[in-house]
Amino acid sequence: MSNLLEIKNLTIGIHENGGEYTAVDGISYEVRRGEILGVVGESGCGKSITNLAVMGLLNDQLSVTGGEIIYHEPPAKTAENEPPKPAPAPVDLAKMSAKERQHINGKEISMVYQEPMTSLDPLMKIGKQIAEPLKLHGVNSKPGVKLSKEEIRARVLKAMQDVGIPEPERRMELYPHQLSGGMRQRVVIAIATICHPRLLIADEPTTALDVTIQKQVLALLKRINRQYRTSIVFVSHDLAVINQICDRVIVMYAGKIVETGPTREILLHPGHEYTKGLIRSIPRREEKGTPLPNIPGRVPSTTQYRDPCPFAPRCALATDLCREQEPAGVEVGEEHVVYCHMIHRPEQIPGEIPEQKPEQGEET
Amino acid sequence: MSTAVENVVEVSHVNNTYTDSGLGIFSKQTKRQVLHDVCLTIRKDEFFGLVGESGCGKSTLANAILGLIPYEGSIRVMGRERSELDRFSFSSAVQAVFQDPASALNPRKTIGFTMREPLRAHKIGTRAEQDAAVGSMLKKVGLNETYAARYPGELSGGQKQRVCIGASLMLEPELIIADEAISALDVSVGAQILNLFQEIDTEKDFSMLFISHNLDVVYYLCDRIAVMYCGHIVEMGTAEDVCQKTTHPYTKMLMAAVPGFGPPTTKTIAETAEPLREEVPGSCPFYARCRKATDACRSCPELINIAEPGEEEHLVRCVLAEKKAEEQQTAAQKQETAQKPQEEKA
Repeated sequence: MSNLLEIKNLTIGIHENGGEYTAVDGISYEVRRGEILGVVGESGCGKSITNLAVMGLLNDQLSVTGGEIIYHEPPAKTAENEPPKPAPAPVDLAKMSAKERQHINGKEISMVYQEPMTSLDPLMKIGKQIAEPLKLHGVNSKPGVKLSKEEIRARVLKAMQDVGIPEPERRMELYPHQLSGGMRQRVVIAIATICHPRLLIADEPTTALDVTIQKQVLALLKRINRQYRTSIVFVSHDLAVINQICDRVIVMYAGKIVETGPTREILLHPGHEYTKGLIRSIPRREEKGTPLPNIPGRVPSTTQYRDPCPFAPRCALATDLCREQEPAGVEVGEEHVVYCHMIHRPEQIPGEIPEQKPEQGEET
Repeated sequence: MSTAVENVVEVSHVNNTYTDSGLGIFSKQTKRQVLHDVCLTIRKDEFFGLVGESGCGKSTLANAILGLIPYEGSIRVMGRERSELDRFSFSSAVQAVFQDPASALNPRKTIGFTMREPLRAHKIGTRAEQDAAVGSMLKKVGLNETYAARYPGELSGGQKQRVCIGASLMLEPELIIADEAISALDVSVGAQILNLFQEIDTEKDFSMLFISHNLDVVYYLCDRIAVMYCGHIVEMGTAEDVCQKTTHPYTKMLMAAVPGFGPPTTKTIAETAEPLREEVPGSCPFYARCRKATDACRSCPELINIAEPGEEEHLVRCVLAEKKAEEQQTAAQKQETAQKPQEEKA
């Protein structure tokens, strides 16, 4: 799979209380074509900020201070007898002006937010809201030709059917408050996907929803991913939700990536203590009556001092090494990288021995 | 207070109806029933879970118990009718913790002020004693005394929820109503709050009505569970009965919806969540969405106890349960008739 988005050494600074701090600290990852990538971590870990940077929606307090966000636009579709067009040159989204952005946001990359009620206009009929990106980008098979009213209406109805809104003709005349939470989130997803973007960023799209509605929305995102080969970046604080749809996962803590790998691999053999803590925090039926072994403490705020390994103050295995030196990535399995000093030092670990195989994970 | 009270709250035949006045000023007014003949009891020192999707009436029931909305029927708190209790005697018995801790705390008052308020209102102790009580309560909920001087804006979401829990415990109530108390928090912080509830429970006994849409969380924390759908209780019993001997199709659907760590299945329940057929007035509340619905479901079934004789009751409102109960009865009758001749012989 080729890369659609490459984030290289991205650093985001935050201007707070008269000082300059680092919110996201030199992270690198890629989003591949057609995959669902999960980004997991507690609030305040920089997941949302990173994705807002990709969208170019950082507020005045925040700014990209280093690194690149490379977007590889795939070659345009050509007719059968034409020679294939070369792919356009990759662009750095971090250096793009707001005006240039307008051609990308909503058309190539779009976003779904956590709270569907606040991302919809309460005074506009939902059919009109869904049509808006289409009118703005004029997406059509022929370039330069404006879409007709009938065509827009047909596309809106199709988009509403795609996201599973029953009776689209009747519902497009309704206002957001007349819909349930799950339906509203479907409308937001319809707006985000009507131009068939190549990348969809979903920032906690199911956190505000019931478990049953959550399951529907997850199934819907997966279907959009399969049907249109849309890459999805799925942000959540719940690894159990990530498990439902993501192919790969990035675990973020305090502005850094601490673990990355295929979803099943990470859930079955978590390497980093933080990942283990996140997994243990979810109550399971078989553990009734026992205290949940959660992660003590909280994420340091951006203004606080952070150790070279940011998780050291909350980690049961932390040693002086973790407070002096930044851990390098250690490959413990296929594509499974853990940023922890303790990962291949089982003999030095006080108390708990990790379940990792000691012979694996030598530096390569 | 008499120590003989076994049930902290007795809700019997509670109905709640609200009038939907429609959107336009000339729209026809329609009455919508939110709670249908709800009966449940919360026993002393028990954690009682109430599960259902949003809009099913969970919070309406909690608000009815709290006296925030009118209702028909009877709600008895600590053996006395809700309407007989004045605000003071009620608030010393029942306290609430809400979903969003940020909006539950006054941003302009210090944590100490907010937590001292119940004591001040009830005129308990001197100022120094009140401050000391706030200090020890802050420690109990895992913060320290210095937090009394801070403002809510300085605290994280989890810390704010700890403050809310602390404030609700200041009057040593018999019952805490926790309405989606951990749904807005990160899983790791939610786990800390769940542990906190259990820790406090071991120190001082109190009952809790824990409301959530996540059946796994409720099962983890609670002794007994009621599942609510469209204002009806559809299944109620011990946590083990409800989650391990699940009988109602809706409870099964809720169980399947909780994301777990097993390999994701290709089979989704998305289709069942959508209405499968037209709603019929007076039918089983789950009729429109139930896969197993038959024509027999066109009339609303009663709550039936399907537990083995002598065990805690396990109530289910479903035709399937009716069948099961009938089978049990006939089986019991057969046994009796089989035993009788043996006894005669002996």
